Amino acid sequence: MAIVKNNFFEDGDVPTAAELNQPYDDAAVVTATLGPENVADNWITVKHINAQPTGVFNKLFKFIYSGTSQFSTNSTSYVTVDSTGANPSEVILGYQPEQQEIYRVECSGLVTNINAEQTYDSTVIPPNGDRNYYAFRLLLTYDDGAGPLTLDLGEWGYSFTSMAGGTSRYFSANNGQPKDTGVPLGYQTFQFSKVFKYNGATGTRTLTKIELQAKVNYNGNTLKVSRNNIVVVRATR
Amino acid sequence: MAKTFTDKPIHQFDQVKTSNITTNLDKHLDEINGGLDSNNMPVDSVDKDSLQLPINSPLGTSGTINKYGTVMTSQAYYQVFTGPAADIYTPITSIDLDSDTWSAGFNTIPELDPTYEKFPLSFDAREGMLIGCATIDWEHGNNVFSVDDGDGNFVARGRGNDIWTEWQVYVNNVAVARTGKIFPRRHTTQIPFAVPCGTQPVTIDCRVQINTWRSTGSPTLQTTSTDFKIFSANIWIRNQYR
Repeated sequence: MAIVKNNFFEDGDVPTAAELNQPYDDAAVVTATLGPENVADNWITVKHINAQPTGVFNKLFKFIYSGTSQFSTNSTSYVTVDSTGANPSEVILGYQPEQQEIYRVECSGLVTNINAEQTYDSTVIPPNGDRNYYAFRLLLTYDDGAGPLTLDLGEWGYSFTSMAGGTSRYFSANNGQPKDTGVPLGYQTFQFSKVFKYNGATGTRTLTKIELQAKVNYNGNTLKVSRNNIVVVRATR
Repeated sequence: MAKTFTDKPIHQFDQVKTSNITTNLDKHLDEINGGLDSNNMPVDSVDKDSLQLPINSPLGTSGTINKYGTVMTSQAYYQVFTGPAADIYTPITSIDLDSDTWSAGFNTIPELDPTYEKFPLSFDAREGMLIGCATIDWEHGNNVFSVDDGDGNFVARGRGNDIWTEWQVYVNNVAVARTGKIFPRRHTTQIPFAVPCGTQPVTIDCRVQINTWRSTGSPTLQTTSTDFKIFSANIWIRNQYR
């Protein structure tokens, strides 16, 4: 503890030179290692925060594509969104989180002129309407020292048309066309966000990047995405 | 205190009283021993390592409901989420609007499905701001019926394109954000919100109003309403207090 003790003299005492000097000598030593016990409560103001480098409390990472080129997919497994073909939707992190640290991920974009060839299964039994679905996910790539690994941070879904999918009630004897089974839903935004906490030991994991990926549930349907962005907030203090 | 002064000044030719030495020195040492304040410290002197590490604030889990929190120097984060299922195309709950219990007003998720009784996010907030977001992946699509096209042919036609759904976020039972009407579809809806708060217990949940109707006109179907489905639900909150 960086506490300086004083000698207690009463009237009539005869202090020595060493006793008189001791508190000053002690103060000279401990003031080099001041700690929380030396300062008043709530002493820190905004002026005391060192803004260089940035990221004392939060640090921002982002990917933004604001153009009009369209990423197109009819893949039934996840593929990374890449609207221009040379600019994949991924935000590069490249840091080692501390234990209990938070990273908050927000993502949004625009689904453009989708092509919904079939939103209704030909089979009678459920899940008849699942072909109407498409989905996005955020994929984290990280490294614990033995090479890159991935973690599915979350998935979120949408439908090509206004028709209910899955096991909802429907006319089951028709292999429907989009015009018959709901209004096509193009040019609508997609958006989702989630918070993640790192529970591992400080400095043992490197967060590499987070990608936005998409897939459709039926390869006859085509999903198209133009502008999109990913924002990651690393919250540390 | 930013400054301190000699309590018992000693002048030339004075006789020194030894207790005055103690008194004078105590005043200065008291500053070092816990009295240093904002105006004693240099600006730009605090960096990340000067501040305490984040502290885990577990909120517990219940079944498929996941909750957690982290308390930091300037802010705290809390989150509750459930879903999605292993297959993103499979709902975690499906409400039959013809036979299940639901309200024409705003329904909490536990009211629609008691499995999610623990879904509301409850925590002790500190005075400041609550900045958060609810994200719900849900579906309330229109139905498809066999309809006579006028020539005696029965063809599939969508019904229910005028039904709608609205989500709201409630903080301590006060609505703070709403989506407006969303017409039939599967949709992942994100509802951001920000409200001031005191040092108090806070409960946040999201509620949904469902507008549907029973169709007639199909000669072959007796039940008509499309199911209301939830695929995942998530609320995160940032309590900023410094």
